[in-house]
Amino acid sequence: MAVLQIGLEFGGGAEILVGNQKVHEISLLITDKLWTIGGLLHWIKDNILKERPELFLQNGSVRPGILVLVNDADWELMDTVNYELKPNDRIVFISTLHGG
Amino acid sequence: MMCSVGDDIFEGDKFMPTKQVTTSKTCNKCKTAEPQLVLRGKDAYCKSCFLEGVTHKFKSTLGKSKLIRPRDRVLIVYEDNGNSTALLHMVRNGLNLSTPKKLNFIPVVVFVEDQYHLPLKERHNVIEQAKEVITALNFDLILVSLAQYATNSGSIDKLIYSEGLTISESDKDELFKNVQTDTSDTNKTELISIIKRNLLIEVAKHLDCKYVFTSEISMDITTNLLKNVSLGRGSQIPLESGFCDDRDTQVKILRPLYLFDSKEIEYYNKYNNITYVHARTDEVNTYSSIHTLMKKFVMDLQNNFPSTVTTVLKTGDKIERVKGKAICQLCKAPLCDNVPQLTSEESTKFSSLISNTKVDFTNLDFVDKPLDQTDERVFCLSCNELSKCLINS
Ligand SMILES: [Zn+2]
Ligand SMILES: [Zn+2]
Repeated sequence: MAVLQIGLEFGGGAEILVGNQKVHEISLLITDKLWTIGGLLHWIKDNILKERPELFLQNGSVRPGILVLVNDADWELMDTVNYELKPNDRIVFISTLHGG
Repeated sequence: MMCSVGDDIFEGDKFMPTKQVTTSKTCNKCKTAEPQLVLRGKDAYCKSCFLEGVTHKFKSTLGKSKLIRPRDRVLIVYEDNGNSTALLHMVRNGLNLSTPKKLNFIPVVVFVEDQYHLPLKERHNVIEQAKEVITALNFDLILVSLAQYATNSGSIDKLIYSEGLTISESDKDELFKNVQTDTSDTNKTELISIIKRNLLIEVAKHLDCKYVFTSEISMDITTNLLKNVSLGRGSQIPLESGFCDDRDTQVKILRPLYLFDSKEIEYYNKYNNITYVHARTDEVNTYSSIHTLMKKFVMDLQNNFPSTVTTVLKTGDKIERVKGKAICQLCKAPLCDNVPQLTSEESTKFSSLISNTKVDFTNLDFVDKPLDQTDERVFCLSCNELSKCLINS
């Protein structure tokens, strides 16, 4: 089956939510639907988010205060959840919500 | 850990416009390169203009103060987070320059061990990681235990280590052994921050440093400002919520990152491949202390209305400094004298006078008289309350 391989990185404390592992190399099954970051967030919730998903996801997006980078660029410049994933993309999640 | 959701107390802002995302195709600064990130929800920059901007902001914050002279010694406080790691990198880059813009002071880095929410093994790891980060950046590191400092009245030089700092499970109990057991988290947090500040000043004096650098960013400063207002420390806002804390005559605490926000810091670290280990933070209830509550409040502001955080910060910068000869024995801030209007300190005294004495309301003479005839105050208003949590003080 065709897969889409991408890399995920978590930092700033967000790695604690995904089994304390900073880098995840993942393969997404390609179906008739295009993979967007929005879809990826659901995948993360179902597959690697170990505890308290509300600390990572809110209202169909990441929780405010978590930065998202697509290949080193701000996802705010890339239509955020609607960005279409491409092979070998690196998606980085950095939490700025340290403590409290 | 991060705080939990469902705090509808701060969610009454549904009518406000949502963030406008830029559609700009080129960088705001150079107008040619493709933008890589958006700051303040509207300004798009390319990577190199962004990094240049960060360096410029850092240098001009330090430079504008015109405080530091060549060969001055500076004590830099390292904490295991992205902000202080970024600060160390900015300092190292500035010191390594060969242009006239080169920074010229002599740095010493201190790590204060107070990670009491972690198990002993993890606390040891944090110390080891701190050593790695700091030696990789070619700084000298010294280690001090907050608990040892708080419980030893002897000379500070016996508490400064470069190797072999002893830490133990009982450090937290030791630290609070002179504190009443029913003390609130708010008061405990206040005490810790006062002890820590006093520690830094003493260490700096011992090492002949005229300045201490700490790594608070705009959100920390704003949180601290609102916290100080709510704890009756309004007069200390200029000391605690600006660039410079000069309450000590010999050592000034400077906050070179006070104009940065968390996004700038995280992108700075990311683009410079700076990795830092984020030790687990304390998993606390947002409502357990004024500090955590204010932090949550400001964090929500930062995420939804980032310009409000800057506005509060700038307001804090405008508050006039208190001048007074007497000094609070706990937090070392000057005690206000000759205050023309009623301060919160006096109004508290006034209301306690009203409630504790049988006042003849037809004769309110005392209102016109100064409430203190002689200045016998040992503590500021807020520390006066705090001192009640201390045993034998
Ligand atoms: Zn540019
Ligand atoms: Zn005080």
